[in-house]
Amino acid sequence: MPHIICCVKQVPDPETPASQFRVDEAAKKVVPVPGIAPVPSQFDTIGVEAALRIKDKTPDTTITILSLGPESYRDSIKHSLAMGADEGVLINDPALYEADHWVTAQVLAAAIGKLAPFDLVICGRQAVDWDMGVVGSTIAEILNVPCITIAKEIQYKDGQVVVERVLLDGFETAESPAPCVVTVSNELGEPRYPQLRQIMAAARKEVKVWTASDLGLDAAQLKNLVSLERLYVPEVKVETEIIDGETPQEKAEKLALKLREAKLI
Amino acid sequence: MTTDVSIPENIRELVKGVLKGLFEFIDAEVVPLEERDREILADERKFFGPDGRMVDQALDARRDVRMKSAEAGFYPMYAPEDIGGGGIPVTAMVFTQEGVYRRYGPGRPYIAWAKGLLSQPIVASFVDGPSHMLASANETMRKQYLPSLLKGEKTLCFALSESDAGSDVWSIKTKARRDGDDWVINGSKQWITNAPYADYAVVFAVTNEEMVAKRQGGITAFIVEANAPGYSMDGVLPVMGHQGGDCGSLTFENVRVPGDHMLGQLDQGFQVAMFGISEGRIAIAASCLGMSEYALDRCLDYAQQRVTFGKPISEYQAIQFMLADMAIDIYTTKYMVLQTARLIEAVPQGGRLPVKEISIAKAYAVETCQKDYDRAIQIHGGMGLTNELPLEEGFRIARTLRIPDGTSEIQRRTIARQLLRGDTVF
Ligand SMILES: Cc1cc2nc3c(=O)[nH]c(=O)nc-3n(C[C@H](O)[C@H](O)[C@H](O)COP(=O)(O)OP(=O)(O)OC[C@H]3O[C@@H](n4cnc5c(N)ncnc54)[C@H](O)[C@@H]3O)c2cc1C
Ligand SMILES: Cc1cc2nc3c(=O)[nH]c(=O)nc-3n(C[C@H](O)[C@H](O)[C@H](O)COP(=O)(O)OP(=O)(O)OC[C@H]3O[C@@H](n4cnc5c(N)ncnc54)[C@H](O)[C@@H]3O)c2cc1C
Repeated sequence: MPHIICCVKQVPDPETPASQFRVDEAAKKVVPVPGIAPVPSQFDTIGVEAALRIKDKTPDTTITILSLGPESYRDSIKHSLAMGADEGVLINDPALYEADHWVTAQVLAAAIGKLAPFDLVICGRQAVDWDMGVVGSTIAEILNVPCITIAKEIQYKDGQVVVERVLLDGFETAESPAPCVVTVSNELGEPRYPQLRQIMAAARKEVKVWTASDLGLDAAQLKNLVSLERLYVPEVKVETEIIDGETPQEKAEKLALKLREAKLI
Repeated sequence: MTTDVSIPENIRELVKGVLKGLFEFIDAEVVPLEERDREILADERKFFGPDGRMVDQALDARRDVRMKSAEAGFYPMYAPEDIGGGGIPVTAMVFTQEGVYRRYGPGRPYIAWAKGLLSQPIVASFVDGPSHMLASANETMRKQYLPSLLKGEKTLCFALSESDAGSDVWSIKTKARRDGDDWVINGSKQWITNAPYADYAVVFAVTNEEMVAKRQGGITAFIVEANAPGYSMDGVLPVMGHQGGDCGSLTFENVRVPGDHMLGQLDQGFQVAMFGISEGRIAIAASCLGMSEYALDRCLDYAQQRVTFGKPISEYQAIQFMLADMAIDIYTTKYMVLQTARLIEAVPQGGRLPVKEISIAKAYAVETCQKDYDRAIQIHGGMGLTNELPLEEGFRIARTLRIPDGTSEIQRRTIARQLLRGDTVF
């Protein structure tokens, strides 16, 4: 009975129109846009899809969704359950709302320990809000298990995890004994959409809620390593310059000189 | 933190889940079809044939959407569970219809109402597929017709109105006479949504003239196959300037149907009809609500961008008042429809039948929707009138909906009769 744990983060909808995106610079927070619901981070949904593909082949697989965040994160857990996952766990502790990647990874690792035994932990290659891309590998480090990153395919058979990884110039196949952590990339393919029956079942399913102390952690002892200095929307300036010239050759030469001047080539 | 208290708690997770699932389904399965068929979708002369019927490409795409939606469970989701539907409660339906129209707007025939078509491929209603009305089908009918309807493979139409019997249902002339174990139907129907494409028709016919004369029954609902000898579809009736549509007329000339091809009991078809129609009224109201929200969203964007006399038009009070009036309409419609849905849900627990409330909600929602599209067009200036934006389409749909499923006058007639009978509870 393989047990897969998928870590799912909830993020502001990346489709939010740029005109509505605002940050509160004093509070160093993104201001939620009314009427636009947050969504599960895209790579995490792909992670759930990866787990479901394993479950499609090995139906006695149990998939647990694990999420650290406030009550509203329940929506993303429910969405993953509606896709076909079996159990949901929300770690909701106000003392952890400001957790950085290091504290997040420690809390998730502690929760994974509590959910053990497990064969596979799947994370997104990065969360689509901060794009740090470190929680998955940090969890592996804390749990002292192997980590394979940026997967486009995960196969699990008889305690062995076989992963096709995305490289800059191709693919490579990596293998690891279970348990291990795998982070997934969008090359894995489109996640399935939920079916009505599963949506209805998910709506009724109970999500376990844990706090730091349920995990044997003392929130006061968990110290962020990263501190946010400033949060702002960068100003983007676009200047246009039309390069003149008699012939295409002349224009190209002038353009090349300009680019060199700007130290771009 | 972001708890959406506008959704009643008992259905909150269901509604959020269904909406997200539906949106993902539409984005994954329907939007690519729209892109593929951009050319015919952009030009009604290519979308409809010279006879006003949808061209095969469009019909196939809509069937494809229905069947995929059925596979995912969405297509029959409002039908009761005991006939194989999803059993989504009426209060949740209010939010899902609202959500779909708010996000996708009018004018997208592979999703919902558009181009004069009043059937919605992503989800069935009583005029084309599985609905609460079919709960009155007997075992034989369920076995014979439900599987293909639930799959979205086959569709039906609801054939009540006739050229001389619209508001006044009791004056229908179509008759069914007994012949051995069978019934033989003669007559004609007009304005029947989905008639040009339906595989089956629910045909309302007089089976007992004396009862009809006393308005005490005497009408029976028959299930008739469109390929039965003597059944003919006489043509598409395009509405509101469209080049085609899904409204059509039917003629029955000695159409023979087996004795058990009925919905409900003999002579009790009027109840079946009113069941379907009531179901339709609340769904129309919820959909109009979403359409109005779609219009307001577009207006808010446009008014803040469009500059006249050196200022965005959103700074002029004339525009602000229109935006505010749309918001007043939306808010009142939303909670009126939602409360009506709650009353409908309470009926099985002994609540009173909210007859006047259903009429209030239907009349109010379609009338304000039309006003809101009028305002939206006005705010968009000349652009609002063009076929490039779906605002004129929304206006045409809202205008159309003041007629079917009970005209605005008939809703008021119903409301007044209830008041005069002493139903003054609000
Ligand atoms: C697009 C569309 C789709 C339709 N789909 C279907 C369908 O699927 N199945 C189906 O069976 N029918 C369908 N209909 C028919 C629809 O139900 C009728 O058109 C409607 O009931 C009105 O009937 P009528 O057109 O005969 O108008 P009439 O009944 O002739 O009414 C004419 C006018 O008189 C008013 N009026 C009538 N009686 C009264 C009264 N007592 N007091 C005050 N005013 C009154 C009406 O409000 C209206 O303004 C559809 C119609 C349209 C336009
Ligand atoms: C069918 C058609 C035929 C046309 N024919 C011609 C033609 O032959 N020749 C020609 O030159 N033009 C023509 N026009 C253009 C027409 O004159 C403009 O569409 C019209 O003046 C409105 O301008 P607009 O569409 O840019 O809307 P906008 O000026 O952008 O107005 C948008 C909205 O803002 C409101 N608004 C704007 N300013 C204010 C303000 N200060 N206070 C309050 N509200 C304000 C408007 O009333 C409107 O509701 C035609 C347009 C149409 C639709």
